[in-house]
Amino acid sequence: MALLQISEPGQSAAPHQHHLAAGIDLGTTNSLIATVRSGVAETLADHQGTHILPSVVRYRIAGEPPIVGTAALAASIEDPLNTLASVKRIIGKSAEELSSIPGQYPYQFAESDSAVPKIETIAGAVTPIEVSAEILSVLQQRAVESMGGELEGVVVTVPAYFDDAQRQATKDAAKLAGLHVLRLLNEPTAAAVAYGLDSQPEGIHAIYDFGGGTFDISILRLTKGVFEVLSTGGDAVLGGDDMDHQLAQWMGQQMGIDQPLEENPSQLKYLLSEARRAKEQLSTAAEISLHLKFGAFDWQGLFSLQQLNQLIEPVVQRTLRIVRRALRDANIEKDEVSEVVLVGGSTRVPLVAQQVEAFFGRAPLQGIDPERVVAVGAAIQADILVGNKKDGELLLLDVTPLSLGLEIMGGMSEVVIPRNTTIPVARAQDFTTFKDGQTAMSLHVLQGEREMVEDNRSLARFELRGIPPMVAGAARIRVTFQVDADGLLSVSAREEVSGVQAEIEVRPSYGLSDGEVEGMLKDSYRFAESDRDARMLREQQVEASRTIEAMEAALDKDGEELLNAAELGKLMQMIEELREMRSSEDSRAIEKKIEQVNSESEFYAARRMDQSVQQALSGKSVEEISP
Amino acid sequence: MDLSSNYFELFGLPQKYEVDRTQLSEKYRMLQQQFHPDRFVNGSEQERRLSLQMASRINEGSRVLRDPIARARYLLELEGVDLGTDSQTLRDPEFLMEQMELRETLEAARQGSDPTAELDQFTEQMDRRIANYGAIFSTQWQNNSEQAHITVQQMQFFSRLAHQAESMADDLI
Repeated sequence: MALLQISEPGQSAAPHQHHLAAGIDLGTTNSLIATVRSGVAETLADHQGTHILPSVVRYRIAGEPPIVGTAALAASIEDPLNTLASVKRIIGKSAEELSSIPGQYPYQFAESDSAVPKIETIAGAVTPIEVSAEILSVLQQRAVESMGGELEGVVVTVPAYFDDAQRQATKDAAKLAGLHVLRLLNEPTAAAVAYGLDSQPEGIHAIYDFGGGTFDISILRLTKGVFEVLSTGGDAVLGGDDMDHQLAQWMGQQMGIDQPLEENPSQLKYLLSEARRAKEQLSTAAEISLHLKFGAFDWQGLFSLQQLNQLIEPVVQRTLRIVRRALRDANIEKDEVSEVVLVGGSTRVPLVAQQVEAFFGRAPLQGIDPERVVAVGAAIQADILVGNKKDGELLLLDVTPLSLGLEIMGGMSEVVIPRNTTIPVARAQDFTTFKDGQTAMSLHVLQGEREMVEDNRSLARFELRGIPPMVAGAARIRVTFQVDADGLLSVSAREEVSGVQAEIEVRPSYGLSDGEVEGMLKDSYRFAESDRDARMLREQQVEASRTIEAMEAALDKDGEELLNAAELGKLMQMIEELREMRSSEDSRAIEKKIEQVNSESEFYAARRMDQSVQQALSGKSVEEISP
Repeated sequence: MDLSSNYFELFGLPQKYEVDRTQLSEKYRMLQQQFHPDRFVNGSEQERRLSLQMASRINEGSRVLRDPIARARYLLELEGVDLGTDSQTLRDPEFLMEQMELRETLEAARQGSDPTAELDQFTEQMDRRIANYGAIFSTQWQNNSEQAHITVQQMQFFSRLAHQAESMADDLI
């Protein structure tokens, strides 16, 4: 297909140059990093040859760096309060929300004035974002050693059902780890890419992604190199962990433990690890013998697959109800689905695979290791985005998983962008004043499907002030929601009569402020001051190179056509100045120069876009361009 | 900028109610291949911003032209018809009676023996009605009938009921 060859503004001028990029699956239980080498996507191993990094961080006394991965996991029973696991289940959650799911997190949450929950550890209080950043740093380090250079960019995967706050928090974690995020990619979409479903001519695919802590279903349609997500659904706190908890409860009963399990963190962690082991053994055996011993409690007995199935059946049924809704949202019947793909560690549980097969009436694809498939897909997408694949015409069009709206009178939620809308998207809606002479308006941004405000997720609040006094209902306030390709929202409001404007980038009410992120970066003991300066300098140099490359590629293509001699001369001079500045040691000066180049070339970028649009609209139909 | 051209022009379609879905989809994919932010990851800041605007507009245009009600409203808007806020009362007693009956059917579906299936069925029924009224709208619109406006409002009633049925089904998960 030749569609991409029409024009590609912004593409690098140096096709031979290989850019280092990676895909990261930041999972609840395990994390992985992958990259494309010589055209093949593969996960990267540590020094011991292990690919999977358990998403567990053990904090130690101040001054000692935390331990991440297998060694940390091994310490989780002896040192439960400083060994943090499954933080993905709490990332992007408010302190308040956490208190409503008791028992699942045997950690001590610190009192803090920030709305982001902090976990008390021996090394001080840490946020889930910082914990995730530790995991990402280890993966980054692994990539740098394995690939022999700094990463230019990464694609980090998130559950399709992650809301704005969870996405933002994930991006913040990557930023904190010093990574340049090319794109946040939904996990099921990544899996579809990994399976090379894009090499098939056409079809509708269902990706059933059941991981350690999250469940996602995505219905995708592939047509001529474009992957359109038709709908997505899921539950950000439903996963293999829930099966483990069911099983741990049952084990506790057998052992005669009668107080709530969460009252004893070590005991709970012991039971959970026994539960996981039993579950894994039963993926290949019909019956196993158990010997459970913790303190004075001691129990031995047999445990069968049938018993396990009974315990976890409700969890599996719940996933299938969510699948049904996703199909309905996509307007697709079960029998129209041509492939079903299983992703995520929990799909190794026999009952899960059986029930999915029974539901769709076809055997699901399971060829790629379900634990690695997401990282592999992310690596392929990172390779395309960073510009290594010149003919990489695969395009992913994803959707918003949850509806976005505003609070209106009566505590109701008014949807502005419904769930499963293709992103990026911008949509405006008009509102008006309630009282005569009202000069300010408070806007409350919500995410979720429910009618009443309190049943939805509160993302942010902001105010539009300086509305000229008018009679009630006369003002016309246009609120615009913009969701970018990462699924992140920004909201602006404008009073149309007077032109008064207010704008915010939605930082969730309980998210980190920019200041807090900067502060964490500064405080991070991972970096000595000199390292930090060096890193800032390097970041600016990379950004400068990116800008130079983009500008040169553009000028090369159509500079003479779209610019007069004076304009062309000016821009070329600015590129030279930036090139010179790039080799200086002054990161602030480089940053300023980049800003200057950007603002002075604004008109040119606009002309280029105009031209592309003209070409696209000039009546060339698809048939004329396609081979 | 040419993106201020209307959605029909954007997708190279004639300005009328019936749209050629195949052509719309093909043009949509072609435009996104070219303007999606993924194509500008290494571009300058302005290019990235412009591409975000373009891709957003292409998506919105595609949504409006695919959706039977949004498309009808859009056609009226292009002709300068002020649709106002969408809750103007309908004075047709027959239509109001039908609404009441449909609400009762919906409530019965929720309390039925297989609520998920019955609610799905109800939604499908509403979709069919919307399609039927769409055909009526098309004729009225071609004849510049004032009635076209009312028909859109009626379609919105059905859509709201379908939406309620979907929310009820969601609550069953």
